[in-house]
Formats: sequence, structure tokens, C-alpha cells
Amino acid sequence: MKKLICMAFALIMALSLTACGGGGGTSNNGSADVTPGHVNINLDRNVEADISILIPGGNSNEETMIRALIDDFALLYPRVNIEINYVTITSYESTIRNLSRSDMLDDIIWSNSPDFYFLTANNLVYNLNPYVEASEAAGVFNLKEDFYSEYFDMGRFNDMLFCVPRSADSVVTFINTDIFSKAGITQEEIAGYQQNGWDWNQLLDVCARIRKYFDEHGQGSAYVLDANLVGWLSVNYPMLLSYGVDVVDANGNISFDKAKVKECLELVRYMVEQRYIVDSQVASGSSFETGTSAMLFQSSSVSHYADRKALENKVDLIPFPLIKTRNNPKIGCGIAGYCINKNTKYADVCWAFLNYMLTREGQQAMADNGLNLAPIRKDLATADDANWKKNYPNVNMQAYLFGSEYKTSTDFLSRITTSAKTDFEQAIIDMFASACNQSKSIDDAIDRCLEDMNDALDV
Amino acid sequence: MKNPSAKIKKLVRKSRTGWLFNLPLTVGILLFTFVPVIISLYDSFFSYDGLNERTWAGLNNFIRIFGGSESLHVSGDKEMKKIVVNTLVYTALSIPVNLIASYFLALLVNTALKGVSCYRVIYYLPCMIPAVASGLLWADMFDNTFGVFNKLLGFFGLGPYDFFKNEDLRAILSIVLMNMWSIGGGMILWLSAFKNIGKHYYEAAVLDGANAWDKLIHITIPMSSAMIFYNMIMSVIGTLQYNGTLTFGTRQGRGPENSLYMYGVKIYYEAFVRGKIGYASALAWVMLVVIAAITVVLFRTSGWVFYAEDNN
Repeated sequence: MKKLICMAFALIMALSLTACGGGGGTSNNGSADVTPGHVNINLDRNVEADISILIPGGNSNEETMIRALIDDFALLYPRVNIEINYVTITSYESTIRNLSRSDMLDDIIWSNSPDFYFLTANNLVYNLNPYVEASEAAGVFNLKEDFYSEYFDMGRFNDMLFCVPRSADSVVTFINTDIFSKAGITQEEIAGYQQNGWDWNQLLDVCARIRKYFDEHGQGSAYVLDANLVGWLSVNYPMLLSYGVDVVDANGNISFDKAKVKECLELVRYMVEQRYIVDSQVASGSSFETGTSAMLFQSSSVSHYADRKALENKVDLIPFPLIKTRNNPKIGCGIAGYCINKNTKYADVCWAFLNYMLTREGQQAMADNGLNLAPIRKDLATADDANWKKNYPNVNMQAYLFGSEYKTSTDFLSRITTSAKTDFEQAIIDMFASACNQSKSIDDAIDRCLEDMNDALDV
Repeated sequence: MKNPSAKIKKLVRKSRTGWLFNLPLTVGILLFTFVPVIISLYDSFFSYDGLNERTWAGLNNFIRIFGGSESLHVSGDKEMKKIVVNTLVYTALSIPVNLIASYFLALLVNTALKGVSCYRVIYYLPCMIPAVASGLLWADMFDNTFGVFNKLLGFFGLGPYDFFKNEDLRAILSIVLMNMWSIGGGMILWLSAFKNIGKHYYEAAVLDGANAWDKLIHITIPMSSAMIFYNMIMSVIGTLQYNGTLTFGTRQGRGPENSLYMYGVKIYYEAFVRGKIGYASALAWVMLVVIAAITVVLFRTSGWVFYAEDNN
């Protein structure tokens, strides 16, 4: 018996050693079997289906607007029942993985720019090109003419459309008009920035004036700008791009130009030293939400801030400031939208729902129920009856739509393996955090970032 | 010699009802523990992300854990060194501190003091708070700005202190401090051990002129050594697997500069964040072997443990 066990064990070890060197990770290639064979965009009104939609949990705006869409869709297709399920954004990938493994993944899946690549790399969602082509052929819409098509491009991978954007999400500068006014920044100046955009030098000038006001009025612990640099790639990646730095090249190789990155981080450190933005290791009770900070870089719905008691009638929007140092200014934006599960039995019904989301009525219904972001439809951008801005007539909602030529998403994530994605994001965020907290020199922070990214690829 | 299968049959026939009662649990353990454990062993020899086909990796996952091999073209896991150091430091600090603190707490409440039951309940109450809630609570209490600990330090002109957000081993010290909150769990076990020590030992010791210290050293500690041994083994197993930082640590439980990154968190992070189920399985099996080895060593060196039966 002992001999038998020893032999079996030896066999396993031998096989294992022979196979050493094998294996590999999931590459971000996607495959061809995600294109539906036959699509039907003219559904019978009495079509019957029970489908489910996965939306981000804890986001009441998203839920109320999807519920509004479901209610309206039920009038068009009364026998389609749509159930809402929830996913936590912070555990998006593991939730999707578990749902998919247990064949319980919802028919329609919410996604955003960073997470979208996980769905495509694992062939979990349908290529929606056939639906778009059929819809264009039938005259339902013309993608390029009717929509801000750059957001659809963010939902593409290998020229296949996988994610339909529900809005045009873009990073803007939320400002506290009360603090601006007290700091002596005139309405004319603000209007100028709103009309023509502004650059980083103008931002620094405004920061200096607000800092001076804070210091002269006993608010030394308040910070001027909540720049969202230590948790969100949608700010720091466009900043890097503005300095001519991309994280990875077209082949997925790390392409950091250390000198340019240093220049970018020195700007960040300067702002920390001047106490415009908070040192991430220093305690501060100052925040835009509580009305104690003057500015915020965010892409959220305006209602998320404007409806707060501390900010009542004090919120306005200015576009994201352009960094013109290298004539390559960028504004962060990204896709937030919905995909169709490749294994759904009701792909046509799911498309009908997404198509309704894209209609004028659908966009208006969503805007009426919490979506105070720019619509994905061009005709609603400036329309007088557009719901997305009706509750905020005094807020410059056009800021979301400013500078479409500058818009960029975190598309470098599509060029690296999915298993390295989180570590890449973390490495960049850590680098900016180090620039913000002065815990290490900028050179060390860049080296550490490079080391972490190399480690992430080195599997 | 009787046929063993006939013996088993007889045993089953004799206690059929007992076996029937036992069946759901047995099936449950087999299905939901034993089978996944075997699957994880299988997965540990593959490159597997939980979604796509398994790719045979042989011993690559294990080689990677132990530093890689240039000749086999397998790179080592550069995080392992930090993780092993963190885990060992945490284990080395946490186990003795918790065992000793809970032991002395149990001694304190093992008196005939009026209202001592209330103290026992109060000390045990924190153990009833779910781990996630407790983690979040401590994250708040250790907060740089609003945390009560930093407020206290500020009162004495000290701080702010970063606690969990430290980039070095001080972050782990914060967890050891936090764990003191739940020493009531250990206290209950010690109390049960103390209750089993016959009063006649103490009475005899008093007659021999023993003081409180003598009684502790010569009666209480030796007579509760079985419980000390049990608590030590359970602590080693629990501490090596610790992943509580997932609820309160920054950077998904790893802490700044990986200061909180321990083996249990590493398994979670590889499996559910990086999606490397195969590698995480290999890590889990290495941990199993290490824990088993430590347990064997502890048993082999357990001559100092006194079991009540030894007396008979």
C-alpha cells in the first residue's frame, strides 16, 4: 500500500514538473462568439419575458431612474417583467464572476469605464453592433448624429460595442459660489470660466485667492479644493495625459516617461504645499459636501451636492481646468451604461429596453428621476424642455458637455491583462497619494509605481 | 479476525437513529466543506480565474509562492516576503498578548466579588458585535480627525497617530490593541477551566500557608494547562488566517505600503480581486500545511500540559 501511494505521488509530482512553465492569465482579447446571430428590433408588443437588470447598490439615483424606465417600458411591452438586482461597485468583478459561474448573471448588466473591460475580456456580454446596425437601417436612430458618439466609443472594444451609455458622464468642477463670492471672485470671472473654460493657471490663481480668504478669516484648516486625486483615475489619468504621459503603450507595455510624470506630480505637491489641496496624511474636516471646501472635481449628478442643506443655492459648475503645458489638455470622462449578458434568453427584449433608454422619452424619464447628468442625446443638450437641467436653472449644467475634443476615459486598462487592472489602478493612485502626502520623494513615488505595475504584469 | 465491513454494518444497525440524525450534518460537511477543499487542491495546479477554462500550471503556483525559479521561468511573488513578515509579527504579538490578557481578566472576574457576573457580561459583550461592525467601529475610533483615540491624544498634546494607516509595523500593533476589545471570548474559556479546578487543592494549599501568588503558579496555571494548550492551538490557527483588515484597512485590507497585508488577506485578494483562483488555492494549501506542521509541533511538545484524566 505504501509503495502504491509513493508511486502515485511520484507520478503526480513528475507530471507537475513536466508541466512547469505552462499556464497563463486571462488576456484582454475578447473573442468572436459574442456577436448575436440574429437580431430582432421589431418586437411584438405582447412578447413575454422575465428579465433582470443589475444596477449599482447604494445609488438611489440610479435605482429611481431605472425604475422609472421600467415603468415606462411596461407600457410598451406589458408582458415583460423586469426585476432589479444590485452589485456593489467595490466588489464588482467578484460579484460578476460568482453570478456568472452560477448561471445567475442578470440579463442586463450595469458597467462603467474601468469595470467594462472585465466583462469584455471574459466574453460575458454581447457585441451590440448588429442591433445598432439594424436600428440605423430601420431609421430608429443615427448613432453619430443623434448621440454623443464618443461615449459609445468608450463602450467599444475591438470595434465591437458592448456597453450602451446611459448619459454623458464627465468630470467637472463643482464650486461653492458662497465661498467664491466671499473670496472676491466675481460673477463675471465665474461666467467667463463657464463660457470659455479655464486652465490650470487660472485654477491656481483662484486657489490662491480662496486660500488667502480662508487664512484671513480663521479657516486655516479648511482646504480650497477636493481634487479627488487619491481615489479616482478619472482625475489623475487625464492629468498624466495632459503632461504627455500614457501608462501603457498600444502593446500593453508600460510607457511611463518619468520626467513628465515628475512634472505632473510636482504640480500636485505644489498645491499641497500651498494648502490648496489636502495632505492625504493630515487630518482635515474640510470637504465640499459640508460646505467647508470651495471646489470639487467630480462627475456625479449635480443633485448629489446641490440638494444638501449645507450647499443649498451655493452650487455651480465650471468645466474641468485644462492643463495646457504640453498642448495636450484632457478632461476625464467615462462610460456608465448597460450591457447585455451573452447568455440571456431574451437579448432582443434587453436591447428593446436599452433602446428605450436611448430614446428622448427614456432620457427624459431618467432625468426626471434623478439623472442630472448630461444626456447622451444631442437634441436634449440645449432643449428648453430638457428635464436634466430643469431643477437647476441657475447651475451651469453645460459644464458636463464642455470640450468634447478633450474628453478621455481610462482606456489604457483595455491594453493590460484583467488580473493586473486593479494593481495598475492602485499603483497610480498610490503614486498620487505619495505626491499628496509627502511621505516619500516624487522620484521614489514614481519608482514605486513603476515597480508595482511591473509586478502586476509579471505573472 | 472478523470482517471489518460486517463490523461497520453491525455498528450502523445498532445505532441507526443516531446515524439518521447525523446524516444531514455529514452530508453538509461532505458537500460544502470536503468537496470544495478537494476542488481547491485541484485548482491549485491550474491557472484559473473562475470564469475561463483551467490551464494546467503544474507546480507553478507553489513555485511562485516560494520565490520562483529562473530555470522554470516562474517568477516569484514579490509580495510574499512582506506578507510573511507581517503575519509572523502579528502572530507573535497577538497570541501571547491575547492569551495573557484574557487569562488575567478571567482571574479578576473569578472571584466572589459582589456583582462580578455583571463584569463578566460587560467584558463578553464586545464579542457579540459582528466582526464587520466591530471593524468599522474601530476604523472610526482610530480615525485621524474624528477618532476618539486621537481626540484623547490631542487632549494631552500628542498625535495625531495614524493607527491602521501607518506604513510600518505600527499598523499591526494597532490591530493587536484592537483585539484587546474582544478578550472576553477567551475569558469565558478560562473561567470554565477555573471552575473545573477542585476547591480542595486551594484549601490544602491554604493549610500549607500558600499565598495568592503561590496558588496561581502552583495550582491555577498547571490545572488549566489543558485549556491554555487548547487556546494556544486555536489562536495559532485563527491568527495565521486573520483577514479582519478587509473590513477596515485601506487599499482593500492591505493598508498603506502593504503594512496590514497578511496571509489571509493575500488569499482573498488573489482570489476575489485579482481573480487568480488557482494561485489563491495554492496559497491556501500552503497555509494548511504550515498550520498542520505547527499544530504537530505543538502537540509533540505538549508534555507540560496536565489533563485531569492523568490524575486517575
